[in-house]
Amino acid sequence: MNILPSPLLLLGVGGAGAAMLRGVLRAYGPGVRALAIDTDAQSGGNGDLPFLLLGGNRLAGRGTGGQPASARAAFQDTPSILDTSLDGVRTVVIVTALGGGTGGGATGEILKHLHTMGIATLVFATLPFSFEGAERVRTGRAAIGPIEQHADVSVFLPLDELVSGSGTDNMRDALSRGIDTLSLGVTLLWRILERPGYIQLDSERLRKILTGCGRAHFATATAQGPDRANNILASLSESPLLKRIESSPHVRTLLVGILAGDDLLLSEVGAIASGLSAAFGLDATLELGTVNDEATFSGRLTVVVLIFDESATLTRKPTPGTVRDTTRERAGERWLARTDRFRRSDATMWNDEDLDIPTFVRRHLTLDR
Amino acid sequence: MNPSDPIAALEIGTTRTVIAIAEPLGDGRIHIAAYDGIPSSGVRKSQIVDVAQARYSVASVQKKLVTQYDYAVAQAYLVISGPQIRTQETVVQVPLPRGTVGDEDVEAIGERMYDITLPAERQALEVARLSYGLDDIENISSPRGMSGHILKLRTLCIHGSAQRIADAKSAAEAAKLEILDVCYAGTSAAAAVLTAQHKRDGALVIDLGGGSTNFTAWADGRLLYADVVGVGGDHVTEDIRDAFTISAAQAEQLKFSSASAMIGPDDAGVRIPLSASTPGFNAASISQRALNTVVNARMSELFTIIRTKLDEANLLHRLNAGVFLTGGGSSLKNVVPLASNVFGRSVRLGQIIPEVAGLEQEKNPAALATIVGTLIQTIPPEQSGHSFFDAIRNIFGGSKKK
Repeated sequence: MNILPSPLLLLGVGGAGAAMLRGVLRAYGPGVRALAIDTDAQSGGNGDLPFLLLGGNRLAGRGTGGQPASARAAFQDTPSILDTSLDGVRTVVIVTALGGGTGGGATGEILKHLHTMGIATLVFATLPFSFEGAERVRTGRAAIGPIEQHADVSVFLPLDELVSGSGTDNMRDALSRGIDTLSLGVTLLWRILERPGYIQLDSERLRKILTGCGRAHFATATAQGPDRANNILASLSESPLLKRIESSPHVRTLLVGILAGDDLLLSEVGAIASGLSAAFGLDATLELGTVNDEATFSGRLTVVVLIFDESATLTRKPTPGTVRDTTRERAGERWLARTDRFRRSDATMWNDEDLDIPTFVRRHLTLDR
Repeated sequence: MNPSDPIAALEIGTTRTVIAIAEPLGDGRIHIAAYDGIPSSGVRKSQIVDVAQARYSVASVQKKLVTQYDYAVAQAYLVISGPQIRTQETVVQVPLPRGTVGDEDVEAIGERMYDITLPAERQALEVARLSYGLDDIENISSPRGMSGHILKLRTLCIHGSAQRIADAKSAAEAAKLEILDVCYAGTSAAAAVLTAQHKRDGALVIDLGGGSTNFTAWADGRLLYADVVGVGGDHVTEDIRDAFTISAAQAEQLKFSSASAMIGPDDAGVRIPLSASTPGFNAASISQRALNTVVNARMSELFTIIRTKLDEANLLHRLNAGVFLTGGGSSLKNVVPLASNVFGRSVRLGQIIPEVAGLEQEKNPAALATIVGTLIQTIPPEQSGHSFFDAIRNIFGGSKKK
């Protein structure tokens, strides 16, 4: 019997990426093909998961010191470092944290490399807590542009929104819940493919849904009891991770995973599907898969939603060799870190200045913090 | 056309898609019978970037008008704005065989004013008479009875990208809303807030839209200048979002609830609490001074650009009636004194002219100036003293239910 390698690879990039990867694997259990890559040798831990040291010659395993450019250069030195780990891989799901050196610097380069190999990519990247300081927030946001440019789907998760809790929760519990939430999103593809329920999506269908979709949002909700489907819809509507979707008409596609045990009712699937369709507009395409996992979800119902909104079409990869937008480049990396708001429209120029860049940035005004 | 038929206008703006319906009352007066809108989708800087999303917005507003006001709108005039708008001055001329300018000569040159050559990708929106000339004499306002050999007419053509206009029409027509004609937002805003006296005295109307800022200058009763800056309220929102790393919804809310276009001495030390998007991390606040600095920088720059353009056109000194602010951005706190500082002229919020009824309950009717002005302009000439349109408008083929 031939045992084929999984077409899905879960890749943790950077120190925080490796830590999140471990958390995701703990939450999901065995059965995920995983790999961590970092410039800091300590991220390899005790050999509990496959690990690649990036930039061994350049950085000697000591990390980047928070410099994304060092990680970028390290991957450019040896772009083939990943290739031997990609046998049979058709889709790579990346988890990383932006704000430091390796996640912010190497992820874009890794995505560019995977794209040339025809591998579909889905990125879950966290953004720093606002209390981590403006510089770290800026560094994190500066990494968004290169990731969006090369990823098929990118989900950016501000930790302020991912790690929610009451004022009395301790940090460990709040972070743990955040990891659980992230885990449900990150492993959605595995669950749909490897523990399929009554409504199935095969790997090529998933790959087709994801290819070139651009920026996405995701949210999860879990409920128990007789009215659990409606309670889930109510929770999703309050999810801080969805607050950034400005209005429902933007939404194009929803990938919905319904995770349950043997007690899943047909009426619950119908209620969730119709509730989401109504919430996000009847024009939105709904791709639905159910996961039947009695051991994990007995008595519980969990819904994971990946939402591709209007910005999905903004960020398709450019064809290699296309002319670069020098107007935007001249504004510097700060612009590239900004949102898609003006990306699809012509730049507004006045006296050689790009007016789409905030005036206070162009004038170098100091803001009273 | 029945003079009492309702008229509809559609604006697919950057932030909102709005349809308004007016009932002509005779004597150039209209009553705004209904208006409604929803947040726009697929529009950036006043330009459609996703026809399907824009169609969805138009269809949603149509549906609201049916369910809430019982109006089924099938035809409408379309408001066009955005940085794709350009102007072109042209001079046309006719010979004077009798050596004196008569009514027939003025009529003859009036017919020629539309002989404008534009590149294929441009579409004329409006043509305005600037001034007459007679042989070597220029800037004549009324040439009748004057002697000469050649009568000249200098015109201002406002034109837009044919593709952009087609995109907007496609979005409307995909929602089964027939577009009867397109109107430039700048002149529409002026039609809503300027009286004939204002236009004679000299006025500047700045329409602060979501995606762009349209402005027109008037004097001697005529349109003299029109232009667009591709900066609008969206930029202010994005600036706030960028400065404080918050969501667009929070930035938009801050813009109108807490921000000021002026930086004041009382701002120092004041903190604005942010509404919590995440329980447990709700202690964030931002500096009032920083917020006002961000907004002031953007709005000062915008007004300075407009002032520079008017200076270059040598028009600033002609604005004796002052500057009128319209559009959603006119709701921004202290935007009037800021504009007053930049222009050195009297500045006020535009008030909708008395010929328009039905907006008495509206908090800031100037925000609706473009769509209301479009409705005013579409009143048939025999009913209105305000119409800029020479063609007879065949309006509103839709049915009013009941």
